[in-house]
Amino acid sequence: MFSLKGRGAVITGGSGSLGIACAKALVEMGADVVLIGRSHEKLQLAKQQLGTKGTGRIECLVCDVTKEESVNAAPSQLANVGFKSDILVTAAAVSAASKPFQDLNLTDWRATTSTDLDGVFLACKVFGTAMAKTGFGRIINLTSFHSVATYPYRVPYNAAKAGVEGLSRALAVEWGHLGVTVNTVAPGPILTPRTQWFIDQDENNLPGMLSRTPNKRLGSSADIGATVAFLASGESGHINGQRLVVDGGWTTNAWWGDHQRLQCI
Amino acid sequence: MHLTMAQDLFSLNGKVAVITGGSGALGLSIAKTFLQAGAKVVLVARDPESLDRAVDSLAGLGDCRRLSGDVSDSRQVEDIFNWVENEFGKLDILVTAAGVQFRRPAIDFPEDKWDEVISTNLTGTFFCAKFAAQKMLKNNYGKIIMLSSLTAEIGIPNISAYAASRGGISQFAKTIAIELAPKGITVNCIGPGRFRTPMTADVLAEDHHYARLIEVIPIGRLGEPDDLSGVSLLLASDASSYITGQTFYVDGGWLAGGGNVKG
Repeated sequence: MFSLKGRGAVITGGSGSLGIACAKALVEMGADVVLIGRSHEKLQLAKQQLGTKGTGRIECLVCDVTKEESVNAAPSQLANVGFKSDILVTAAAVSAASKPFQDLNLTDWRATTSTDLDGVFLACKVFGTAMAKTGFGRIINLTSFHSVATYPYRVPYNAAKAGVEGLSRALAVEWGHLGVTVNTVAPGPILTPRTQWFIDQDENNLPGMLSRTPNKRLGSSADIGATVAFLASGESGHINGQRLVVDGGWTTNAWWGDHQRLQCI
Repeated sequence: MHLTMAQDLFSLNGKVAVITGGSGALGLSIAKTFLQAGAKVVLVARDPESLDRAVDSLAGLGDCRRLSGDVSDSRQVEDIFNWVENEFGKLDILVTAAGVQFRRPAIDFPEDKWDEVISTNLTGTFFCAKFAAQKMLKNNYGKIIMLSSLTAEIGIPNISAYAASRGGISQFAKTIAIELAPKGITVNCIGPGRFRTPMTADVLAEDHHYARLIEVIPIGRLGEPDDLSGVSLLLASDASSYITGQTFYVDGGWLAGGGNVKG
């Protein structure tokens, strides 16, 4: 169950920590994986980090998901090296400045939405359209628990992620009968370099985050890889248009107290 | 290597699972999945004969036991989990798939039928989760999976009690998920859309109903019991250790489309 042998997967944001974790899970399940990103050097580092122990091939492709011509060129480049794209994971996201809404300008807005929303549109359009012609496809867009409940000062990010949720539902409805499912994985706080940076800004950040998380820990990149691998498999075929929240219970929780001191049971 | 990954992340080797509604189509399919993943499985159902048939159909897949019991009776439920603890020394996984249906417009819905549906579907889920969690807490580990339904989200006529029970289950799951999360126990729901099971056979037998149902499902087909295999294994295994309090809908895209007819 859950074997991906013979499947080809494209991962945008392939050099980021979540992209690498997704690649690790997919390769170890037998898929061939292409890491997509803007920086050749970062992609090579990611490939080195993944090693060669998985059964699937790992390739890298320099591609900018914010540039239509760049994304349009990707399928033929992949076909030239014998790759097919059955699975798309969109993990590309930018670390945009966190600002109060009144201080944002359109440049700030676009700095985030061009990658986090437009980039998903382009990747889905190019790779998903090709999948629809083959009768099989799995699109997994990484969004965020910020599409459910959020922090202040992240308007472009939140809007982009919520936009991807809407895009995904709409595509699920359009492509379901063609064998292509479209779902999202919405991580809660995951211990990535970006989250570590946030934690380092204020000593209250980590205790505050943990106090809101019933599972009492931050998520790991592997938690996301596992869920993505499940959605990429044939066994997820009747799940379509859904958001799978992986947040240790954060968005379900309305309890104001300290979970670590829940002793009534 | 991919098999190693699958075995590690999604393996249920050495786990002990109880599945209520074990003789129904969905419970039986989940049981098959768990046995194939290495778990020991205890099927629970009211009717001994259908339970025997269910267990017999799983012959050769692994260690599968049967226990006849009524989940709406708290004493019977407590006995079931005591038996499991005595037999296996622990409980790792609970799936509550016991459910009944009764169709009638709300204004004519008999009170005894309302009580019967709520008792089995909602109160029975509460009893099972309560007594199962008491066992799981001894090891600070557990996976509780409750079968909810698309009807926890949307209205469908003539199934008032069933929809109320399923909506109640989803909300109950969130509450107990928060309570049990610090103790290493996750609680999630699976919400099937329209599946082809004996429970839906009466509706699906009418051609005009069937045609209309298919129109609102973007994938263009009904769910089959095996469509729950993957998600049940995800939620039962350590691959889902950071997922709790969620309801995963398996509906072919019905919810995403909002019930609109395909274009």
